[in-house]
Amino acid sequence: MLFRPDERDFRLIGFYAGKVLFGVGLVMLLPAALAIVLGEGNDAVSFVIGACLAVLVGQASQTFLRSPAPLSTSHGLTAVALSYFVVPFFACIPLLLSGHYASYLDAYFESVSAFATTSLTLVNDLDHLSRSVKLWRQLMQMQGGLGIVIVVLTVFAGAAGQSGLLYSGESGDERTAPNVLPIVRFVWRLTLVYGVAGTLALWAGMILTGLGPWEGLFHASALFMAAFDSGGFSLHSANVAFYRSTLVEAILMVLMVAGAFSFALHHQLWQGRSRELLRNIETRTIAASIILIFVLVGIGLGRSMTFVDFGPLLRHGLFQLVSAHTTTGLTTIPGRLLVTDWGVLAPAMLVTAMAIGGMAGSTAGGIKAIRIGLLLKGLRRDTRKVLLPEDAVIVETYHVTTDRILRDEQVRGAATMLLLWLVLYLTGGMLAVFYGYDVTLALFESVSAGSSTGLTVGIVRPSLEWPLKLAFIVQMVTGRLEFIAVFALAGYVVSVVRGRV
Amino acid sequence: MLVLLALGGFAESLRHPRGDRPLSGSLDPAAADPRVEPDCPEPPAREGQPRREVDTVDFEDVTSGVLFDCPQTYDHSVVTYRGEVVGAVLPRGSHAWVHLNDDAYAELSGPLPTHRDFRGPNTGVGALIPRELAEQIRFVGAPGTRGDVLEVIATFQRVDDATDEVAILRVSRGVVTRVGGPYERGLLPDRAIAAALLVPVTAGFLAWARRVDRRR
Amino acid sequence: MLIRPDQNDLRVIGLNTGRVLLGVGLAMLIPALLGFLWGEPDAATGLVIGACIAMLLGLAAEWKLHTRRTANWQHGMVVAALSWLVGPFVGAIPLFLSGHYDSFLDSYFDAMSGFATAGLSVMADLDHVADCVNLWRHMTHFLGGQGLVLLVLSLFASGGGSVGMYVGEAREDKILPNVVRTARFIWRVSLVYFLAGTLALWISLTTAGLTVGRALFHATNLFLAAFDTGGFSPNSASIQIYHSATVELVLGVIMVAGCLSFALHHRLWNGRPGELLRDSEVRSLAFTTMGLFVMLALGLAATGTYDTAEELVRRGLFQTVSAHSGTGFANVPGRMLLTDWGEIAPAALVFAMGLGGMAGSTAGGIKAIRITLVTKSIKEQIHRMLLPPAAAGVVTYRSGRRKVLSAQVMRSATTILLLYLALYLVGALAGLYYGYEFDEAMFESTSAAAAVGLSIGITSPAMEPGLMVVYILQMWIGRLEFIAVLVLTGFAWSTLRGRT
Repeated sequence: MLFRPDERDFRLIGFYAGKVLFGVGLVMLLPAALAIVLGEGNDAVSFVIGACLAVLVGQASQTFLRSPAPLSTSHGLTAVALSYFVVPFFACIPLLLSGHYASYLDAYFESVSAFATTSLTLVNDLDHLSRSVKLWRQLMQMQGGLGIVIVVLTVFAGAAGQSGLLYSGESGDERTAPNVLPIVRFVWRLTLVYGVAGTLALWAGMILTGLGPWEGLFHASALFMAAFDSGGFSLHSANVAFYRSTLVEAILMVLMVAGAFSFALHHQLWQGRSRELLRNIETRTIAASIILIFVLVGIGLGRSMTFVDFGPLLRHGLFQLVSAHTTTGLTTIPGRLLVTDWGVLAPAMLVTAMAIGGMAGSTAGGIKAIRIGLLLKGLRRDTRKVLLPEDAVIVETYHVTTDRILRDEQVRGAATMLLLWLVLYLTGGMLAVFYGYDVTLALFESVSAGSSTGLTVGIVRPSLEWPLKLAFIVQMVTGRLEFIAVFALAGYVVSVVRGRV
Repeated sequence: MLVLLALGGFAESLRHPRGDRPLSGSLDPAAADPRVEPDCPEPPAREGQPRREVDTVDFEDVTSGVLFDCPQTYDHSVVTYRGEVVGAVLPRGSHAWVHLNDDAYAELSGPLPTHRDFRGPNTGVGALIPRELAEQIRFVGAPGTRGDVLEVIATFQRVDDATDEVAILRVSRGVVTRVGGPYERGLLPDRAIAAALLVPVTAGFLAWARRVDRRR
Repeated sequence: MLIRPDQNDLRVIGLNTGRVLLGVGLAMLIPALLGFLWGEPDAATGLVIGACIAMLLGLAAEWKLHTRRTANWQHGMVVAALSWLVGPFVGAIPLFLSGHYDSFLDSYFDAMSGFATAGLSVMADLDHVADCVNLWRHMTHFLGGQGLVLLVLSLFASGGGSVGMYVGEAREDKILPNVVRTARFIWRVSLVYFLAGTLALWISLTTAGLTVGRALFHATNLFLAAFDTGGFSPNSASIQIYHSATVELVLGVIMVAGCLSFALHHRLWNGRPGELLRDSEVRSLAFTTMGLFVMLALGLAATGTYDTAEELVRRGLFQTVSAHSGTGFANVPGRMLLTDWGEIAPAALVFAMGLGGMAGSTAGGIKAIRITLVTKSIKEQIHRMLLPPAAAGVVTYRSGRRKVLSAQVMRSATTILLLYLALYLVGALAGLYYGYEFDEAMFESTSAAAAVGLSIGITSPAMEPGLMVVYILQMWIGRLEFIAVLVLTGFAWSTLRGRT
């Protein structure tokens, strides 16, 4: 298919991308309603316009591109990639029309950043941005985050998972494609439960810190959306520091961690198998990683005397670290201080945490803990092979829901993806360096974009050079979709160009 | 491809009008470009080197930019600062937390979307103000509202010992120098017309598409 | 063996390590002799002392640890690892006694840098050091490069049992079926290149203005450093001191020759020059060198560092080849890489250093074969995922002859590559701990772990001892490509466990 795509392939991909667009258009009616209630007339109209356009084009694709052909893995992946590039074109219309974005490109960047749950932002004057548009930013993150989870649990878990490149964190038999409907239902239910509990907890925190009841509810639900889908957009330019509340920060940390758990793990916990938390290779890897990195961050902050007391060190160091490791991107300190006040070791450790990311099959990005875990297990196996007599039988196991045997294929896949991720991080960094940014800052920003975190040291801002904006857009989507889908899409584009030329 | 281009053109045409007081100069203040090395009296902190105790010096009219660029220099210094109250006033017994923005949207060009002078993200500093000052605040910057502008005398705390907050101003006294108020966000006619046209078109198309699908 | 090492194992290891020390000691006598001839008695005495200690240890091992047990693969690994740890120890003695080092740790650093063919130096006042000591420094490159073990093999060949040590020395390719003949071939090639290279350098150095005698001295030392991709130079200003493009050109040729594997040399020797073009590694190496040079040139052009294109090419190409081949010569002062070359050009150098030369040569780094294999592996995996199953094929590469890429080879290549990356990053972490910026720390760390020797200024006599230890470990581990170190660690661990 990739070398000679025919009309059927295009129709299939367009059909499914159209479905997604249609859905997103419908969701746009929610902020439209809020805008009407709050009297934000212009924004209500913008949302209506955006919704109409999205629904129109989405439905048109479905109607005119309907075909009876079955959906293969590569079709599915390409459709997903296409959606992540095309849908933001429509979703960004209300953003542009809000008057807070300097150009269409900026609004598009913001949309992509939202759907990719990154949270790098090009917004101007966030503190005066209308509430309905703020809600839409958060909703886009939810759609992007939950969308990718569903894709991972279905498309990645099927035949694609066999290659060892893509992981879903799922427990089922990897040979058959899992049934989509129960998965979607579970994801909804889980998000709802966490949503209600999380929003209520945050609401309490907001009221305690001094916000009014309605304002508090708005902030609570928005922050829940930012934390649980590892997005990171906040409602205020001061990010989480605005609330001046350790309670809010603590609740957010819990939500961020919950968002970085794979939904397969959530499923296990849901069914009462809490021991999975201790034995799962990913949770162990992340736990070890967070502890180790936190120690190094602490050492760095201590040696540069950023925090001399343990209290603020724990509060701010841990929050930033959890935010980075779960690739959320919420902050309790101004981003500029990471450069001017945190020395060199602690920010470098944050970069490492961002690069590693969360669990596979969650809303978090990055290389994913399972790959790190499998690689370490592979290393252990190789070490034992070297040390033991030639004829000894070496079997290494790891635990994901059940004990499984470590296969060569998986270690190889993990290594390949790790290398691809490193290339992604480095390329973005080098491009930014080419435009004159300091290499340390460039790498920070590049890793933040590629791992869909969103912590920023100041490079991504409205006056950023447009080629870099484009580069970061590509990075965010490529990182979110873990390369393969983007390669599939690229293959398509190449064959189209070759066909026409 | 064509669809997307058309989309872009359409959307662009519906944007807010340009304001009547465009500011000259670049889009972003130079301080926001991370390539520009901050010109700090004190060098930035590095591991293994002790931080130097800076004598308390008075700095007039500091901006959030210089405070964050050179936190070591301004730590524990008494400064004067001016900014718009945004977000909320969070009471804490004898004090209250506010966030004071000193960006262009606060005083110079005014908030978006009343104009098209894009000056980058908001910049500001958190401040712990005395309750008496907090009670004088009438308007808080929000969508549709310009906040009061406060001018304060405060001590900049890189890390505040009492509250564990980072990069805040402990205000000893201040005044409200400009009262805020709501600003106009009226409905733009082009947009309303566009919407009025699109909605029936979309609804009609949907109905037709559903019928086509049911027939298949 | 390693689960329960016994006395005999320890004896075998000790014996062979002792033999290596003996070889080192004997080698030390050459500069000692020359030192006396050149009228540098105090420095020469230092060399004699070092030689004696080494030989005593070696002879003691030969006498007390004699055993009939033959060495197997694992023994060989441990001996290799120990030799690179202990060899510099005795090699450091004459350096320390020369009076140019702050502490023994400093001289151990230089000795390790020499044996690992790295080229980082913490010597104080290099420009006034005695000639024989300087010669010894460069000879450590030769010994470490050609392999301490190879030295022993040629002189004390004992047959099949020594295969293990050869492999442990990170040369997977068996050039000739008989290990001894392989050793002899390497000697022969080195000798021929030595004569030709030294002659060429001698001539170009004389043309550059040195007197005939000095030119010969410099030529010999420079050849040793270039062909063994080490990087020590007789003066602190490295190659810049000659101000001669001809010298740089000749050195460039020698560096390239040094970073080609001996297996390739063997094929070229047997009259198959076409190999040069078809070999996968050579292609990969050429590709990355050219690509990184372009990146570097773009960076230099963007910063406007050099006014003329020829200056840019001269400096840029030399530095790229020096970094990529793992040598470490500099025709630009190290500090200026940071202050005058912008950000992209040094970054290109870091990549070049990290990638390294061909496997089975004296170069360090990840090695071109791994880059080739991993790239092919990645492409194959992606193809397999996206294309229908029937379209997938078999992956091959060319090394002497067309070989099929097996899962085993792929996996080991990927593992070692990742381990190297981890080593680079951990070293950078240590640099960060001491307060250096990330780009500086990464540069120095890669330079140490890939045994290159370019320095942007962190390595100096004033360097923190902790960081010095980290770099020593990096040079050691990087040279041995992890396996030998792993085996040694495992061995030490089980020995300790056995005793308690």
